[in-house]
Amino acid sequence: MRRAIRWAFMASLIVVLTGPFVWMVSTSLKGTEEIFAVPPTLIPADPQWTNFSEVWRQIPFGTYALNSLIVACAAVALMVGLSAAAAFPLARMQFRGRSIIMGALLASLLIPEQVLLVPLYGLVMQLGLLNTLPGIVLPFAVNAFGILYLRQYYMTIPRELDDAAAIDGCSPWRYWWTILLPLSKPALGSLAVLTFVSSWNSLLWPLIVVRDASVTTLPVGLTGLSTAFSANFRLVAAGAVLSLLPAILVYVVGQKALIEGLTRGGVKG
Amino acid sequence: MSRRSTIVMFLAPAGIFLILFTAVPFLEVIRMSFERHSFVREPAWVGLEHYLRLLDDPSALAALGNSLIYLLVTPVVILLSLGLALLLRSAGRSSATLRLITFLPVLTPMVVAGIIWRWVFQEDVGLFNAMLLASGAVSTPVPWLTSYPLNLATAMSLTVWKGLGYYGLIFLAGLTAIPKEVEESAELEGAVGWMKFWHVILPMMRPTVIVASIISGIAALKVFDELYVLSPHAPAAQKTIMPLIYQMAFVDLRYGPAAALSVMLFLGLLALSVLQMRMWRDE
Repeated sequence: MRRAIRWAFMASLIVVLTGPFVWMVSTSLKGTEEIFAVPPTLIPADPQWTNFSEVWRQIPFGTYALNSLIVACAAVALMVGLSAAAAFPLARMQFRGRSIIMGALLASLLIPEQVLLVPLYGLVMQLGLLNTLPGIVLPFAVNAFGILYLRQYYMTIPRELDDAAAIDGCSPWRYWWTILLPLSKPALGSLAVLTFVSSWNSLLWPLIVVRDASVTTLPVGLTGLSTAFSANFRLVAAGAVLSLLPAILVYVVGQKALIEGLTRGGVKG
Repeated sequence: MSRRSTIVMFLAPAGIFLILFTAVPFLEVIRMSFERHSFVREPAWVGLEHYLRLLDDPSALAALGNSLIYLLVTPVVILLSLGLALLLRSAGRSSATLRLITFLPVLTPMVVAGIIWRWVFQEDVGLFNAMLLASGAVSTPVPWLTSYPLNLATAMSLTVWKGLGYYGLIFLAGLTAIPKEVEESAELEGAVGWMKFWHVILPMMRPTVIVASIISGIAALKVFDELYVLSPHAPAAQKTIMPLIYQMAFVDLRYGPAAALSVMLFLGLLALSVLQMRMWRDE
């Protein structure tokens, strides 16, 4: 009996979790009429693989995807680079003002980006970055989480290394670049994967900054599509399937790093 | 290079970004909330006017109410993902596949998930209504996306669906951290099934459950994407706080009231975050 309940729970969970994807893939392969068929068909009678190429022709899907890719890569480079640098003195050096900086960083964790949208819009406008890709990337290029996360990781690397490096006359720059960073690869990887996924998925800020199709990212473009093309849903579904692929790729490549980074926020470890 | 300038060189790049894009806007949003903005004149100081107006603005009060309703996703997602974590733990060999399945929604961009939802919950041709009609559960199509408060519930179901894998994974990590001896001795004492869960596993998981609840609560108060994708043109009375801020600031161009509402949202989230930090310290 208990086994039966467990299996029923598991089966319904799998259906609920995967069902929407199955339906999306099925819709993306249907013809113009079949998407409205009553009763709905699960397996398309005549799979329309051309839907995928049509998405590229009918809407600037390629431009959206390229913009998203540029934005996500720039976000990763800035986040990882700036955090990895700033975390170094905070983890390894004694200096006046360090505790003030640490306090400010911790405090800034309490400010969610959503609260800052109104002034950020004015600021980005003043900088002349509205409707540009840098305008999407720069405001969230670095945050306290990234710095504190890497600082925590640096702290786990034995201090004896510092002394050994100092005795050998290794400069702080070389020590950071040739010793600390290579040893911190797992944490840098986690931060990179997390940043990529959150940038790739981000909707609200790009929605505010973007006006033209030439700088539109995938989430913003797809949202517009689903409103404009609701009669042509097979194309929207094809676009949705395509924009899911990078996320799956990231999961396959960076599964461990991603899960490590995601769960760190929730479990004290 | 001197030690001091080395330190500055490492800190400055990130510092400049954080000051320019976090510290300054933070002070700015507070200042704007006390000012009236218009395109023709310089901003004028109006004190608490925006705050007082918000307190009897029907759309702001409705947004507050809707956001409180939205908080209901927290107990639902926490309970379901606890069940999911227990399942994943007992799944043994098949758990890698199961984990991928549960994690797929987490990876899916909210916009993509929202597009699927729009299609599945479409009133006339949606799959969900088709299934309900076919099974005889309803006799006329249900307006999942267009009638309030059903549209709120539909958005909440999307939040839960997308969150399950994330919280499930957090709880799985928490479950794995329970020492084997604790569970074994509980079993020796005769605690099985529900009893073991209720008296042994849940108490051990308490800190994780509380922290996860607060994380989910904070996310629920800030929710935007789900609602924007599912019903971008919902009237003000059906919006939660973030969509209302977006509407005020970027559609109606009422910056002052939008800033005041942002500050109020910040204070609410701050209370939750302080609670979370206390939990981290205490446990």
